[in-house]
Amino acid sequence: MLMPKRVKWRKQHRGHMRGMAKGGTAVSFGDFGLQSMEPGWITSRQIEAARVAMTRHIKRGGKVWITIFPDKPVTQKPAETRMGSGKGNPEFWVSVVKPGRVMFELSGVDEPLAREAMRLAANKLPVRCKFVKREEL
Amino acid sequence: MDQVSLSAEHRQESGTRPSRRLRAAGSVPGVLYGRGLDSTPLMVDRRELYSALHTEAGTNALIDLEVGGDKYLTVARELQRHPVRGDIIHLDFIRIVLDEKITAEVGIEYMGEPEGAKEGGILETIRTSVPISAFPTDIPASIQLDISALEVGMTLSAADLPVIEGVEYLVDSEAPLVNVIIPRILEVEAPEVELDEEGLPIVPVELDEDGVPIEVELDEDGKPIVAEEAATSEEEQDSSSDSSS
Repeated sequence: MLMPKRVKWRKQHRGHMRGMAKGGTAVSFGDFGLQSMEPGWITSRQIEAARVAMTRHIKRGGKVWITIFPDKPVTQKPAETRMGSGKGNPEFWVSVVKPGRVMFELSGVDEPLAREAMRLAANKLPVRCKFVKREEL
Repeated sequence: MDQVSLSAEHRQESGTRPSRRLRAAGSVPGVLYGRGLDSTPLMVDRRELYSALHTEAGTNALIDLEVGGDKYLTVARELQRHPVRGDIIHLDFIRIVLDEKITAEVGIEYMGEPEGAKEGGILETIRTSVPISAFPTDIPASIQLDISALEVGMTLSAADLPVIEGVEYLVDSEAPLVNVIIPRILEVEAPEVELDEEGLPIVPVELDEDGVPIEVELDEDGKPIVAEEAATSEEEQDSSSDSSS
């Protein structure tokens, strides 16, 4: 699963997810993309599940790009623990996604196959998604 | 190259909130500059802009911009789009003259199905557009490149782009455009095994230098004893006989 090799600080604040994506809103590498319509945290497990769903559907054709990276640690306190005693332990990693962000890209397959692969991938994610195509010049 | 006309109005207010009001009213804020012209804020109708930028020439269309009675020949650049809806929220009109070369990004149209893709390879598109320098009227709508002869492992580079009169490619000639790669998983056919009358596989017989079949010793279960195993078993026998003596 995706996670940073090394981080400067082990624990982060949760932060806010106001506004829309500032960059990464266009299909840059492949021909088709999966764009987020909502803000959310995508965990490394969800990214992997979506990737597996997509690659299994397209079988051996095509190429997949993952254009988000889970670089934010999320902490959790153990079960049945009283409040206090500091921040919990880092448990998993997430990628902060805002509306408009292209999360996955695909090339080398025809559009109906890409649409179905992206639909299967979108079912693994906690945000509403939209299928997008590369903008023609 | 298509030449389209578009009417624009001067814009008095600038900034986020006035621009949002303009967009809500069906206009798109923009700015006109170039060739000694001061930067002029203006606004255009969204629908007219859409039809102007959706001709065969796309975003490289030459736009005859009419602003307050004056006409300027322009091209649209720096298109800012809404992150979710994708519609244009701001653009720059750059003034040009017909006798001076300009740079533009032109899309590459790959024609045909590569031979390698028919054999099971995957067509990988590295570049979908290429920057060029040309006179405004010489800019092609798209560049056609035939890829039907491309086999597995072959790559087409910028040097393979067709020579178009008046068009200079602003990209390294060795820059790859498209290739056909070998898929990661290859289907491997299982080797055919000859069967005897009872349906059991026939084990190939090894021959010595004279072409005579080598006799293979069989163990109690009828399986052939491999040379190494036979050697080790002999050694074991020797050692056991030594120890017993």
